[in-house]
Formats: sequence, structure tokens, C-alpha cells
Amino acid sequence: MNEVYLMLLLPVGCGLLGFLIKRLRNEMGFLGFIVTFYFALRIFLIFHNKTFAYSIASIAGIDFRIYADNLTRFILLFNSVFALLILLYSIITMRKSRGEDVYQLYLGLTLSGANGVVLSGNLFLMLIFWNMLVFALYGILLVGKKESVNAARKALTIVGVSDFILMLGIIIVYTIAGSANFPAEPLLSLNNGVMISAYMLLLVGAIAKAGAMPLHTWIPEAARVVPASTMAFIPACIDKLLGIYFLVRISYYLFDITQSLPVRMTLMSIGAITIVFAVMMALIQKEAMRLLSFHAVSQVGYMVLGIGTGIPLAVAGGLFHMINNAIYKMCLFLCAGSVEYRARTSELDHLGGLGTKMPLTMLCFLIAAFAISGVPPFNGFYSKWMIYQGIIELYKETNLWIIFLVAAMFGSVLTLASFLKMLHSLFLGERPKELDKVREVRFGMIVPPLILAFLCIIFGIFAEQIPLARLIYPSLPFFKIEPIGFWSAGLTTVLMLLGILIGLIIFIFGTALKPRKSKVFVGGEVLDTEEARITGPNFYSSVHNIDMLEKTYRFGEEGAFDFYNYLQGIFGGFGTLFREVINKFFVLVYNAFANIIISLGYVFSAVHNGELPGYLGWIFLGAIFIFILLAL
Amino acid sequence: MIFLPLLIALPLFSAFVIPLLSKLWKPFAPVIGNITTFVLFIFSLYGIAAIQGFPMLVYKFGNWPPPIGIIFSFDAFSAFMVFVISIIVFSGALFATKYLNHYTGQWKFWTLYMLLTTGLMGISVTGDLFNMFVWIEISAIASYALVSFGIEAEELEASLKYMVMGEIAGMTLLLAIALIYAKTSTLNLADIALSFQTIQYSKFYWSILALLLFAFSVKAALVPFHFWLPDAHPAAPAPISSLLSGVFIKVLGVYTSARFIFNIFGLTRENAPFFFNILVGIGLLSIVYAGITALSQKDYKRLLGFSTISQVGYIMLGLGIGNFYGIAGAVLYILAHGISKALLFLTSGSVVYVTGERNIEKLGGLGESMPTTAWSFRFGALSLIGLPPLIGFFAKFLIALGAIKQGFLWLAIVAIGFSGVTLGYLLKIENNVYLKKNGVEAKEAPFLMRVAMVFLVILLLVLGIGYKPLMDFVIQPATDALLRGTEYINLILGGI
Amino acid sequence: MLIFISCIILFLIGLYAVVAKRNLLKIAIGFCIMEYAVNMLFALIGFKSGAIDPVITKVDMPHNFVDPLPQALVLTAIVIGVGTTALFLSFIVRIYEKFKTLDVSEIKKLKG
Repeated sequence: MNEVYLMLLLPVGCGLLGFLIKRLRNEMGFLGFIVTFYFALRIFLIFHNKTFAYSIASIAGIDFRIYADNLTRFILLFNSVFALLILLYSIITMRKSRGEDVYQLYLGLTLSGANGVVLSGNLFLMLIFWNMLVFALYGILLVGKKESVNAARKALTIVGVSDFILMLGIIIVYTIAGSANFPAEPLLSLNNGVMISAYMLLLVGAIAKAGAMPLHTWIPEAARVVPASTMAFIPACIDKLLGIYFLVRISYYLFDITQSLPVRMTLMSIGAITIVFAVMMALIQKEAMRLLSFHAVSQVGYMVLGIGTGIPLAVAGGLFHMINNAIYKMCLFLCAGSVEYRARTSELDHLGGLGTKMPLTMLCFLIAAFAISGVPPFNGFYSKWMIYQGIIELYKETNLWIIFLVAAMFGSVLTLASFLKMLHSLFLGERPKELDKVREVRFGMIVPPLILAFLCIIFGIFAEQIPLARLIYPSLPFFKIEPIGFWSAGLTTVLMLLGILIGLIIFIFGTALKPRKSKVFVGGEVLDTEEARITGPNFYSSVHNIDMLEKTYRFGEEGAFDFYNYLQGIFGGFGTLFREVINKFFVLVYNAFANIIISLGYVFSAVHNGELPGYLGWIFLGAIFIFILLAL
Repeated sequence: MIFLPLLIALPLFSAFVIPLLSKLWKPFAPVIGNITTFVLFIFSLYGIAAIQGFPMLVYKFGNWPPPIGIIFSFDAFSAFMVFVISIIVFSGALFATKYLNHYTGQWKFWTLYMLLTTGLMGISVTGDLFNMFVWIEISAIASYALVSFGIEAEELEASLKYMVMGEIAGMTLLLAIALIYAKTSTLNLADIALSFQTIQYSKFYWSILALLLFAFSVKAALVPFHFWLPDAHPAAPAPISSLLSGVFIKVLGVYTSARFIFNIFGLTRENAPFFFNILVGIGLLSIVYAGITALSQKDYKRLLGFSTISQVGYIMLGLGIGNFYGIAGAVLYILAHGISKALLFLTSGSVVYVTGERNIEKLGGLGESMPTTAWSFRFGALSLIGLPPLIGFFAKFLIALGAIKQGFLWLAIVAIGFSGVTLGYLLKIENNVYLKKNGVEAKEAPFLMRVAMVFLVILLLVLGIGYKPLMDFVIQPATDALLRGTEYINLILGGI
Repeated sequence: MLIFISCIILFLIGLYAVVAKRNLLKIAIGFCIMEYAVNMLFALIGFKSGAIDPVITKVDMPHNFVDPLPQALVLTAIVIGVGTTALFLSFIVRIYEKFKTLDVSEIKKLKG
């Protein structure tokens, strides 16, 4: 019991102490986070296959209680692991930068809030911690460049409004079911309109937290202006853990969505749309953090899709993907952050060739990039595979499964494409002169990505033995998941083939790592080599340059590698289209709505024209109205 | 029970002592004012403790038994109001101590402040109709004078308009009292309630109710009777704005109407659904109209004034829902909004004190130079929006719960949806005043002003976290006192 | 019944002056009329024709008093009325100094 309270109080308490006693800030932060991690580990070991419920208080019939089961302990553990890594990283990056003094306080507040959300056994109690997170999010987003103010405001508006919607959903559930405790006994069924609307309202809260479309817009905006550790911790990790945790809780512990196909179709559609659109947007980004942030949105799609299928294997896959995503996305953000920290820029156009200067960072980035693209044997592959399998199982229920499958695979391909581009832009290709002095980051900044990359490999190779058997399957006790068809002969063949393909790609990179310099021939004119440097966003043309003759450079449009160029052109075009159409559309709708209300405000305020007789006339009218209604 | 008349006598005494003593030594005025309000705060806590387990405490003036003499009747709802008043008055006095450096004639301010406090306390505890009118007029006159305290053109204009509208309401109230007396030949509230039971639902009964509802709606600044408020609140000095918004309109408008509706007229949603729907309608109109109007405002305090109208709408909505949760929500909302809006007005005062500027578009970047003020604003705003675990959340939640239990799902949706508008206009201030970089030179407000703000922030947090004891000891008894209805009669007249 | 109606008519005349008149002094007079109407109503409520003054001098006096309470109320109401009127008039003086007009429709600095 005490562990539970300590999980809630320690992080924020130590953050506060560190804030007050500046000299001991780092020590306090580490102390708090390590002890939290220790308790999380203890809870993890103690509560194996046990549930635990404890009522803190009962107010007006609402039972504010703490509840822990396998799912809880699993999320708790990772919350504190990730927080510890981020703390280690941010201590170096935040040194002597703006907002350094409050940063750890917000980290602690976030961790406390996240632990609180996970430990709540009651929707109302959860809402309290949920809002603590909103507060922490707002505060932590303010720590950054000047423009972070706008991002913070946007985030607060989106998350805040979705909180009101969530609150409404909770109140409806409470009114109809008579209790806001979860897990509900028995599960609430989605058989009438009110229940479905309640579920949908809760869903808005979940996907706003997880950052699925269309409630994602603050994430890319924040990406450019806040420190990498913030991005890595909150949108990439904690928000995913909590959003998907909540989604699983409401979908399988509170309601039973397996009964209702339309609801699941909605979920899956949200997932599929998020995957495809966000990844297309990612493809056209020219800035590292922003690109990653769109992937942070895109990956949510897989989780929502997997959980929405209602097929046990895919649900487990969705949950597994959540933890995998947190691992590799954090790793990617931290690596990109390290590059930015050393190179002082994150514009892909101004970067390149840092592989030899920052080998460890590159290694981590490579592993995480493969993991996110779904390349075996890394963890991302395994969870995506489970989701695909689940979607295929859907054929018994609907014919639309093929669309979801195509969307998911398509998204995977585009993810790979965009990461090849990014990998090249950051670490391969030719290095701009001003980056010659860049060196590997310091120990504290390289350890967290290394640990995460290591986890990527472990969770991929021993997926069945470690994460699935110990973390994921116990968290979904109501499903009997049989990992059939996983290691069949056909599959192995496919994997072998894929492996060969990977080898090829790595081989290409191996040569690309040391770019061969050849004179640029432009009609006899001598060009400055710096000017002619091939920058990242045109990665595929640079491949040309290395391997092909100068002639092919000229007729490049017809070359063998142009498949990529076409691909990039086409989907980049789509991406631009979606940015122009979809994003503009949302912006337009939001703005139109806001403008209507604000102009209504101006109309209303015109009534207050300062003329006393007019005011008295209104009052008189109101009085007459009351008289007519009451006395006559 | 001696503390009951002391609630009135103490500030009244201070009001008369202040002019005398401040002739000797000027700082006597703020010192006496602060001591008095602090003692009142202690009394209010004592009052809450004293009322536990008793439905009603009665103090008889001159020992005359209730229908004949004037009495003070102190039940849990009164205790609650006294609690709210003393919190706001105390923090306002702390704040005013330093804030008044701008003004001359400080002792006048403190005298009027004490009179205003007297009036508010009197309204909350009196059990006599005409006595209530006297207290209402005392506090109203003091507030007219305080609004115009700066005697600049805008302040005089605001005060004039406020006075015209306020006096129309006051005269209507007096007319209603005369008519009630003509019919019942008594002024004791309980005795009136007894007489009303025989003439229930007659034309006369409804006409009186309409007159009272009109008078109290003007005092509570509900739309469309609100026109005085957006002028008067910005014009007043900040501690007065916080007092006016925090408790004044609630005591003169909401407390009185709740007392009349439930205890004197004995109305419940079961026996008069139509009337309660009118309350819901007025509340809703206020929420929507004033909330949207606030979005277009550029003056820090005027924006907050519109916000107040909108928030009072929530209280009326809760009363109009009329079941336990709705009323408990309304009662809690009085407290929650009182504290958070008083806090917001104090932050406005602190900004005005430092920069001398109220137009939010000309301000900017104060978040860094005035951190205490900025964070006080943020806490107040978050509570007003209704984010847990601050106290504002529970109030809004109870109202929404009441609405759903009563079958008004759409009402809950509108009420919570308009939190988005609340968020919108408060973000406008946050963004323009505290975040945007505008090169406004500023330093943090003086110590005492910060203490006043931090006091309220701590209350917001403590009351939010200590929601359960607050609910058990304060809110629930107060709600029960209202829901007790005409049982009120027996509690006062039965114990003769 | 007549007294009710006549007093309420007087009250409405005062209200009319307050609502419809532009001159601040006339508004002040309107307030006075409203107040007098209510005071008169109080006094008339307590009145009984043929009754004696409510001063008890002997034990076996006839129980035919006028009601004394409204008179006490009227006194209090008059005092309050004097207070408000005085304050209102002082506002008028100050406003005339600042705005150089007594027309309420010209006094509109606060709007929006």
C-alpha cells in the first residue's frame, strides 16, 4: 500500500525539493526517480497475477479507489524506466538553458500524474490525475524556444477541450452504470445509443491523449520548439502509454467492444487513417524533430487499429506495439536530439555525414529506425506482424479487412522510406564543412539511447519469451492467445528473404557511409564542392551519384533507383496534398468555429453601448417577461 | 451563540472606530481592518463548528420570541455564506493594505469596506425580512460608494449606472416587502413562510415571487439584468472588484433567492417544475451570452466581469436543477467561484498596480517578471475552468451530475461544453498578459498583495484535495438546509 | 384594494421617470417618487379607520389600534432613502463636473 502512495508522491516531491534546493537538484531528481523505479519493480514482482483494490475515499457515492492488476504494474514499470532515462539525458541537455530550474519539477509532476492515472481504479480519480498531466504538459511545453508559447497554448486547448468531453463521458457512464469503477462487473454492453455515445466520448479522451488524428496537431507544432527530451518523454512515450492504456481499459475492462462491430470499425478507421495520412505528412518534412513527430502520430494508428480489431492476437499486438513504439520512438527522438545538440540545427538540409563523428548515436538510430519500419528481427516487426495476423482474422466478420491490412502495410513501407531518407540526411552522405567539429555526445546522453536500442533487439528476438509472455499476455487475462502460425516454414522463408534484402540495404549504406567524391561536371564550369554537396532530402539522387555514371545523373529520371524517386515524388505529392487539404481543412474548421463564436461575442458586446436608458429598457423587458411567465 | 451578533457588531464597530482612530495615526485604518477581517474569519470557522449537529441556531434580540422580535437565524447555509464572505473579505483586506497606495483618503475606504462586510454578514444571518432589506441597502450603498472610489469620470459613470439599476431593484424589494406585510402582517421569515402555506400558488403568491426574483436577479447580475456589472466591476479598486464578484452578488442575489425559493416559498422541483425551468433558462442564458461576450473583451477586468455573469449562471442552473446534486453543486460553486474569481481579480489588481494598464493588448510578458501573480492567475483560471483536483471541478461535476440525474443530458453537455469558452477567454488573458513578449517593464507585486493571492491559491488546493471533509461538514449540511424546505418554520417557531 | 392600486400606480410613475427621463435630476426625483409610494403603502397598510393610537395606558383598553410596526418601518425606509438620495445627488454633482452634462444618454464612456 505504501508503495502506491510513494509512487504518486515521490517523483513530484523530489522534483519540488530539487526546485527549492537548487544545489541538490540533480541528486534529488535521481533519488526520486530511482526510488520510484525500485518501487515500480517491487510492485511488478509482488502483484504478479494478483489484483489489488483499495478505496481511498467514498464521496457522494463515488468510490475513489486505487486498483492494480497486471496491466497496471506493466505500465507503471515502464513509466519509471523511461522517466529515469529521460532524466539522465535531460540533465546534460538542459544544463544552462532556459527553464532549467523547473524542468525536473515538471518531469516529476508528469511521472506522478502518469502513475496516478495508471493506479486509479475509478474514472473520476483518473480524471484528476489526467488533468494533473495537462497542467504538467502545459508547463513543460513552455520550457523551450520562444515559439513554444503557441504550441503550449494549442496543446492546452486541444487536450483541455478533450478533457471536458472525457469528463462528460465519465459522468454519463457513472449515471447509467451507477459506478465509475473499472474493471466493470459485468462489462457494460454497447447495445444502445447512450452507451455508444458514452464510449465515444471516452474514446475522444483516449485518442487525444495518444495523439491520433484529428487531435494530433499540437505534436508537430511542439516538435520544433521544445527540447528533444520533452518530445521523447511526453508525446512519444508517456502519452502513448497512457492513451493506449486508457483505450484498452475502456474497450475491454469497462465496455466490451467485441460485441459491437460498428464501434470497432470506427476505431479501426481512425487507426488506418492516422497511419496513412500521418506517414505521408512525415515523408515531406524537412526537419528532423517534426518528421519524427509525425511518425509519433502515425504509429498510434497501429495501436488503435490493433486494439480496435477485437481479435485477441491483434489486441495483444496493439499493446505490444505501444511499448515497442515507446522504446524506439524515444530512442529516435533522443538520437535526433543528440545530433541537434551537437550540430546546433535539426534542418535536414543542413545536416549530413555525421555517422563517422557520432557512431554510437548512429548505431542506436539505425536500430530504432529498423524497428519502427518493421524490419525483423527488431521489436517493431513482431508487434506489427501480430496486428496483421489479427486483421486477417477479421475476414470472418467483414470484407473491409483487406483495406485495413493494406493501409497498415502501406504505412509500414512509407515509414521505411522516410527513415532511409532521414538516416541518410543525418548520418550518411557528405558532411557540411561547419559540422567538422562535431563529436560524439557525452556519456550521459548516449547511455539512454543505447539502453533503448538494446531493448529493441531484446524485445524483437525474444519477443515470445520476455515481453509477450511476461508483460502483454498477463495483461489481457480474458483472452486466450495462441501464437499459432508464427514460426511456420513459409514464414521463415519470407523472413530469410527479407533478411537478405536488409543485408543489401545495409551494404548500400556501407558504401554510402564513405561517400565517393567525384568531380561535378556542369558544362565545364567549376563548382564549389560545398555548393554541390548532396543534401539529405534528395537522398535517392545521391545514391545515383555514388553508383552511377555522370550520364545517369543527367538522365536520372529513367534509372533503376528511380523507383524510389517516383515513390517519393508520388507520396511526397500525396503528403503535400494532405497537408494542404486535410490539415488546412482542420485548421479551417477550427478557425471558422472559433471565429463564429468570437464574432458572436462582438455582436453581443455591441448591446452594451453605454446608454443607461437602453440598459433600463432591457431590464424592464426582462422584468415583464418574468411577470408574464410567473404571475399570469 | 454570542458570536452571532458579533458577526455584525464587530465590523460595524470597526467602521465607526476607523475614522476616529485614523485621525490619530493613519495606519490604524488598515490595521483595524485587517484585524477585524481576520477575527471574522476565525468566527466563521467557529460558526461552522458550532452548527455541526444542530439544524438551526437562533439568537433573539432583546429576548423577544421569534414572531415578535427580530431574530438572527443561523443554519448551515448561513454558516457557509459567512465562511465564503470572511475568506474573500480577509484576502481583500490583506490585498488592499498595499494596493491603496494609489489612493487618498484611505480611512474612507476602510470604513466603507467594513460597512459592506457588515451588510453581507447581516444578510446571511438575519431571520427578519425588513432587517434583510436594511442590510441589503447598507451593503449596496457602501458598494456604490466604493465603486466610485477613484472619482474619475469612468468610475462615476459606472457607479451611477450601477446605482440606478441597483436602486430599482431595491425599491422593488421594498414594494414586495410592503405587499408581503399587507398580506401576512408579519416580518419574521419563518412566520411569513407559515402564512404563505395557506395562500400557496395563488396569484398574489406568484406575483410576490416574480417581484423578488426580479430584484434578486438584478442584484445577482443575471442576463438580461446584468448591465451594471461589466461597468462597475472594472471601475472599482481591485479588492472591491474581488469582493463584489466573489461574494457580493452571491449574497445579495443567490443566497437571498435560494433562501426565499426553498425555505420561504417552499418550492421544490416536484411541486413547481415550471418555476425551476425558468431558473434553468435564466442560468443558461447567462452562461451562454456572457461567456461568448467575454471572448470579445479587451479590458482585463471587464473580461473577468463578463466571466462572473457567466459563472453566476452556473449557480442558478444548479439551483434550477433542483435535486440534491444540483443544489449541492450550486452551493459548492458559490465557494469555488468566489475564491477563484476573487483570486483572478486580485491578479488583475496586481497587474494594474505594477503597470497601471488594464488593456490586455498593451500588456505582455508579465509571466516572467511577476511569477507569483502569473501562477496565481493560472491556478484561479484552472479552477474556474473546472480542472481537478482544484475545487472548481467538483462544483461543475456536481451540477452536471444533477442535470443528468434529472434527465437533462443536454444541459450537462452545454454546461461542460461552455467550459471550453471559459478556457478560451481565460487563455486570452494568459496569452496576452503573461506570455506574449511585449517589453512591458514590471516587477513583482508587493509582499502583502502576494500573500493575499497565495492564501487564496492554497485554499483552492486545500479545499479541492480536502473535498470530502468540506463536503461532509460544510456543503452537505448547507444543501440539506435548503432542501429542508418549509421545515425551516418549525425550526424557528417551534422552539419558542 | 384601492390603496394597493393607487400606490402601485404612483410607484410606476416613479419608475417611468427613472426609465424614460434623460435628465439625471429627474431620475433622482423618480427615485424619490418610488420611495414615497412604497412608504405610503406601508403607512396605509397599518391604517384602520376609527382606531386609536397604539399606546397602552390602561389594562382594559379596546383592542382597536392602528398597526404600529409599519410606522417604524417607514421611518427606517425614509432614513435609507435619504442616504441613497444624498449619495445619488453627490454623484450627479461629480458627474456634472466631469461630463458637463446631466443627460444620461451622453454619459457613455463605458461600452463594449
